[in-house]
Formats: sequence, structure tokens, C-alpha cells
Amino acid sequence: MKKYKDLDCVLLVDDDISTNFIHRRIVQNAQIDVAIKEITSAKEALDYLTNSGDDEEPAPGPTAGIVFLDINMPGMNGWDFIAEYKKLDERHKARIVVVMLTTSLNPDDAQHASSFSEIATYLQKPLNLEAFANIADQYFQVLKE
Amino acid sequence: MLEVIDDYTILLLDAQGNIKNWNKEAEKIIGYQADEIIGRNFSIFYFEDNRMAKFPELLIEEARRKGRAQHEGWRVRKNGELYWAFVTISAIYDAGNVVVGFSNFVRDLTAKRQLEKTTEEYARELEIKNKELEQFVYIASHDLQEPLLTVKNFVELFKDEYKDVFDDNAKLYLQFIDRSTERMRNLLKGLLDYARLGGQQAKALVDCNALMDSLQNDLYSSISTAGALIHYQNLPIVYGFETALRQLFQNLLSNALKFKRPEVVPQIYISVAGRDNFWHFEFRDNGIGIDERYKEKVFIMFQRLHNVTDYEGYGIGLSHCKKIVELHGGNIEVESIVDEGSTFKFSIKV
Repeated sequence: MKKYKDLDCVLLVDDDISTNFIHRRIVQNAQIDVAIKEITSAKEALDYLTNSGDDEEPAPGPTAGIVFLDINMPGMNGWDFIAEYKKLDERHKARIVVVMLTTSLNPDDAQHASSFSEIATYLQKPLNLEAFANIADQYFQVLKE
Repeated sequence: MLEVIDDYTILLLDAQGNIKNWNKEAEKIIGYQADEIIGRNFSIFYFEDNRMAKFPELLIEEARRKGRAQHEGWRVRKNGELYWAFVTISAIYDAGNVVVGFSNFVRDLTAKRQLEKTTEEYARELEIKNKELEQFVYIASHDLQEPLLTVKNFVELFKDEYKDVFDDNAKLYLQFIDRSTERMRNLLKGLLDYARLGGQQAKALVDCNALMDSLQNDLYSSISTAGALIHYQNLPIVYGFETALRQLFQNLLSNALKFKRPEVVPQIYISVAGRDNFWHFEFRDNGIGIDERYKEKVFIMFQRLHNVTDYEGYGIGLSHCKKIVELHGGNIEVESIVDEGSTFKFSIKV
């Protein structure tokens, strides 16, 4: 099992349970020592990020290292999430890499995503093993091979 | 007598159709100077193939017989340019009631004609685009159903023939596939229904009271399950597409029942006011309400505000409502306060 510094948790944010299920499998198969948290709405994801990083309140789980974010969600969508995420206190965002995931074939979405410094990268669904391993390697430091 | 009004001119012709006078406005419209045109036959204004077909002669003949002949069409200016003319040729009689000549009233309608043509072209383009869109939606919803159906069929076969060898994991996977295909089937159906809304039907007088009465019957079980109270009286008779209106009312009613607050008796008030040639309807509920920032989004196809696990649905109903209201010349909008209720307001042309 590989272990990365500060990569303790992968947050899967998608309203579709089956997509989260598949993505959990992919992350599990990557042989990386990391917790996986599935969340089905952008609102809950924001709550998770703000709570888990708060020193005064007990953290419900490990701090997210990578957030895989769906664009098309009911109510608050991926873009709305980013707008709220922007406003978060720096300590909640420290060491978090947001990856946007989409089924959209619209190049405007990729363009739009690249205009936000909060979005590390933009990927087509479904997530695959190689893409996940690359993101871990690119943004986190290996502690143990 | 030979005064000029705007782009009109009145010319005098002799009994054979030769031009007897010429004026400034005629010069402006048709282009000739008086000395080059007086005495020539008026057929010079016509296209060559019109002349070959004896069209000017036929007009003169008609005016001679009936006293008057009218025609609208392209003519040629001196410089070869075309103008759209509206022409009235009237016979002039002598004391013995013999036709001695004609007055030729010419109106230059080129600008109007071009505007009409642009509008016509625009309308035609719009019609083509609409057809394309309809076709597109039809293909999307119909042809995409077929491979989907194949997936569904084979999943059924799998379940039937291999159920004994499946472990729990395999069963879970099949459940995911099942749910997704079912969801897609419904999304595609919604798309197809949307394209077809109000399509083939003729408008008729629809009694909204009777409509609501019968809807209450249809929705009896969901109304009584929710314990909802529905209030309306003196709803109007409107002129519209009955099936579509029924769907509009049904969607708004079902939404009010579905998005009710827990522990609160759902109250639905339907009221109408007639003003400015529109019926202004209001469907007011005391449900969960809609966040201000999603007020527009709710009317967009497939847009949902809640997770499927919280509220079932496909994000179709209100987009249909919007299209139905627009088919009736009106608008739909929502006013809402979260945790207090929503009021859907729509208008229908009288």
C-alpha cells in the first residue's frame, strides 16, 4: 500500500449513488492507503469540509485530501459548490485538491473549469485508476511506496 | 387630377394602353423622363415574358370588360431594377359609355414587399429550425430507447437464467444497472413528451372547475395520503389545449402534494383573476418552498433541487408546465419562501 503525505481522505461528491460506488472501487483498487467518504450533495460536502478542518470541534473524519466533484447535481451543483468553496476560510482549504468530474461533452465546461484556481483539474467520468494515481502523484508527496 | 401621394402615381392611358401623361412621381418610381415615355405602351413596365404572355393586354382587356383590373407583382424600372407594384387600371368612359382610355394607378410597394419577404423568410427559417429540433428530440428520445431496451432485456435474462450463481455483489450491480436504465427510460420519455406537448390537438373550451374536479378524483389516493386540503371556486372556462392544461394543473397539484412539509397539513389554494386579456392563475401551497436562487432553475428540463433519495423525480414536470403555459401565450413564475410555501403564478391568454 502506498501512503502519501496529507492524503488521508478522498471525498466523492456525486448525487448518483452508483457513480460513487464505482469511484470507491477505483480508489480502493489503486492500492493507496486512504479513507474514502461518499457524499451525495454539494451542501453536505461543504459541511464536511468545514467541520473536519475545524480545530474547535471534533473532526467527524479525516481531512479530505482530494475532492472529486460532480458538476451536475440537484440544487447546489458543482459550480455553486466552487463559488461557496472560494469563500471558505483558508484553513479549511489547505492541502485540498478539487478535481471536477463530469459526463459533459461540452468543451465550454472544461474552459469554465480552467478559469477557477480552486479547480485543480477537470476529468471525464468515470474516474479511472491511472487518472487517480496521477493526481495523487502530482499533488502529494509519497511517504511510503 | 394627377397629384402625387407618397409612392403612388396615376397615369393616363389611351384605349390601347399607350401612355398619355407622365409626372414626377412616375419618374421617381419607374425612372423614365416624360419625353422618352409618352406615347409608348404601358407594357414597357412589364417583364419580357409577361409581355410575351400578353399579360398587359389581358389586364387592359379585363379593365375594359369589368371597368377595373388589379394586379400586384414585379415590374422593371428603366435601369433594369425591379420594383413591386400594386396596380389598379380603371376604364374611362365617354358620354356614350364607350371606353376611351384608362387611369393606371401604380403604387410602389417594394419596401413593404421586402419587409414581408424578410419576415416570411424568418418565419420559414424558424419553422425549419423548429422541425429540426423536434426531429432531434424525437431521434434522441426514440432511437436512444432501443439500445437501452436491449440492456434492460439482457439484464432480465441474466436475472432469470443465472440467479442461482449470483453472489450479493453481482445482485447489487444488476440493481444499479436496473435503476439506471429505468431512470434513463423515464428521462427520454420526458424529453419525447416535451417535444409532443400540444402538438396534434385542437384548442377547445376547457372548464377549469370540471378539470380540477376530475383531477381530484384521479389524484384521490395521493391527496388523501397527504391529508391535503384543496381550495378553489369559480375557476374560469378557458380556451386551450385540454390535455396539456390538464397536465399543467396535475403537475402543479402533484408538486404541491409531493413537496409538502412533514407534520403540516398541505393546503393548496387555487385562484384566478382576469385582467389585460389574460387569466392570471395562482397555485399557492404551504410546502417546503424553493430557495430564491433556484427560482429560474426549477423550470429547466432535468433540473432538480433534491436528491432522488429525498424526493423522487426526473426534473421534468415544471419544464412541461412552462412549455404548456407558453403554448397558451402566457408566462409562469414562482414566488416562494423556504419552509413557508410556494406560489406558482401563470397566465393564459383569454
